[in-house]
Amino acid sequence: MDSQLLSRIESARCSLMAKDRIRVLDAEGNILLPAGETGRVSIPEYFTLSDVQDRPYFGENNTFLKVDVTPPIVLCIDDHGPVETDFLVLLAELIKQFNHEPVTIQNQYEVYKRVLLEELMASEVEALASEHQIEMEQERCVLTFQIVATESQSAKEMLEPILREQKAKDDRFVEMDRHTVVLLKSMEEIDGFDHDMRDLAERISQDLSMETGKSCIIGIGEPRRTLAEIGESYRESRRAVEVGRIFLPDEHIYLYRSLVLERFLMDTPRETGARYHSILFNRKNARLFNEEMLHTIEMFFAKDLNLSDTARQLYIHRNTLVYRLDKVQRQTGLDLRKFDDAVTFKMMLLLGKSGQDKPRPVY
Amino acid sequence: MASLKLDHIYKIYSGNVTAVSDFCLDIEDKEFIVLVGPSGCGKSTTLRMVAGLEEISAGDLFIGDRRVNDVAPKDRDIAMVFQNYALYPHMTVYDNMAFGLKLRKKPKEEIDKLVREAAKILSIEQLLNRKPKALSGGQRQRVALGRAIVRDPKVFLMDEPLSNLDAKLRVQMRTEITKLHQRLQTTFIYVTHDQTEAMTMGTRIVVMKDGFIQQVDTPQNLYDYPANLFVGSFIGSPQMNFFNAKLVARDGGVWAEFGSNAIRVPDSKIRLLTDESYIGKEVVMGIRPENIHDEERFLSVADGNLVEAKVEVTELMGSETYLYLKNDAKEGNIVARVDPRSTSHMGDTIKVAFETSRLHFFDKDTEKTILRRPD
Repeated sequence: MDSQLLSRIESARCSLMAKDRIRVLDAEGNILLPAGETGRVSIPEYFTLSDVQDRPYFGENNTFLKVDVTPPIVLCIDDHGPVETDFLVLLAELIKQFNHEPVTIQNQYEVYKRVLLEELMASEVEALASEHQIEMEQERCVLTFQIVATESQSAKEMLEPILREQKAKDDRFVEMDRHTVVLLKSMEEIDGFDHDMRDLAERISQDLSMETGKSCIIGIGEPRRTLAEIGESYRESRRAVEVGRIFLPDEHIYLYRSLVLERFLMDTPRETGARYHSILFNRKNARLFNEEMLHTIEMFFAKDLNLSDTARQLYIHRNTLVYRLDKVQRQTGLDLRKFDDAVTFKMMLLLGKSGQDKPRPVY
Repeated sequence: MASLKLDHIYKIYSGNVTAVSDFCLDIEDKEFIVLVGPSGCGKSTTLRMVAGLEEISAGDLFIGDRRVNDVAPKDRDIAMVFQNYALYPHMTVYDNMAFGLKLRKKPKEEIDKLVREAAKILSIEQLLNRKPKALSGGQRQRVALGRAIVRDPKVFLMDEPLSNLDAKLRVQMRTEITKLHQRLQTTFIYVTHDQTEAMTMGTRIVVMKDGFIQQVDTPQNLYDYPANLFVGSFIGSPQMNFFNAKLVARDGGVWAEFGSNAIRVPDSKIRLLTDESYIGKEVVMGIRPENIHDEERFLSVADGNLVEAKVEVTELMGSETYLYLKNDAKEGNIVARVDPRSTSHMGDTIKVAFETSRLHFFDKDTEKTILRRPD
């Protein structure tokens, strides 16, 4: 039997709770799996001769099920119960899938891509990592770069020289589509995740700009300790971009872990969000919260409620700023100079954004 | 080294949002040009267009004799220092500085020579083997400058490069960049929202607002002859005091009346009026804080040009004192910058002298200056 198929069958067997009780036999009853176990299981003659398919056969001590692969195999479990039968049927289904669409992963690159897309089971990842000599236990994190590709140049082609030049020993980059490239960054030389990852992303972004004139959006997932988990990091990096572009459209680097509040608000049902948002942002306050006022308040929050810094940044007199904040307080009862009131306001403001439709993709 | 010409440059974003309008500027070789203005005025967008990071919607950009509108940033012979001076965290200072050269496949020996030369200029030779995390904010900023220097560009572009540094370091780096400009003898274009940075660093300053150039001039001229109310208020700290005033001809002279106050405008100033018809009209009068005095030696020669005001707040700054004065001519405070030995105290009602030769006048509607420059 093809070693790759056997390896996949073993992965599938190992993924079942009853793995220790299931054996994979050849047509003569020789034990193929678990690997390392030798010997033979006696298959009832009636079952061997019959052409019954997809139906379990209850022997004296075991339940058997044939699987029509090439060469055929027999699954065996040490009981007759319905649960045991279900395990065999489930495993047989999985094996048939493998047989119809055999996973032929030719190179490391493809392994990384399939793992990122979470198309492989953990046990399969392990088997493939071993086959392609990929370190299984290594802390890595995903940076997803989204760039508008041109007709003549894909995102990968634009980024490749920079990613290659900055590459640490265990870094890998993978093209997910024409506009999306993933950098699998080894955490080995990273000290202080938030700061270092932001710096790395910013540096790459600036170098990309200066080389190609192109800008990019970067999402950064959480670090993961094993290869099998990097798909989660990739999912987080994409989620960071999705959420970040709604709440922080002026930025271009989004760290999943820095967007806790925003993610929470995105998970708030739209109706609930709209209900709370309208407590402040309603017809009565429409004139108060004009563009200038909202810009003022957002800058005040960005400057950590510091009046002088905000006034300087907005190029308005400090008294003008105080006057505007007083006006908000008079009309809404919220004194934005106070932390609690500022938090309330910020939440209600963000709830308005969370109700918006998703922004269009970068490309 | 190169001159630049920005010829009727526009930046228009989708939705017909105009970020930069009709920007015209000739920059001479080796000049240190500062673009300054409040946030959203278009200064960074202009710089990014020069860098090639933003497409130019209309107009022509020349670096030297070459039109570069459609030239990729890497082929413009420029180097840019960004506001965020990020470095590759896993690389040494040396490798960070060499990065751009390696991308260009320069020979190893040449890279080594250029990196070491730049490190010497910036006095960071001893840091070359360190990783960024072992550097202070100022040292990182130097490395960021080093990345630009090694490329030996014709033009250095700097987008608020000091704004992430603390106040003390900012002052120090300001001087360092000025020295660097003198040493490299290259064209610098520098963007800041900080008028002090602009005044201390630029050979010429471009003041911008709402996407339009307001004035282009030397720091001293901007300060002394602001073209409009905005420039008058933006340049100088504390900012210029403004009053709604009326120019009235009486008693053989012209008087500026504001609130219940009146001061005589010197004839030399009146001669500079662009249009005599302003006499009898409402104008905006401006005076800088340092041109308002409370010392006896000024009061005694003020020739009646005194204004009575109540001292609401005094701020001793060490080398000077700011008086925040209340007078019926102005809703807010009048700010005076006086000698630190001033005897004025909070709550006092005092007389202050306006140095009338230093008055500024602006058209109330157009906000443009109504004074010509003296010959």
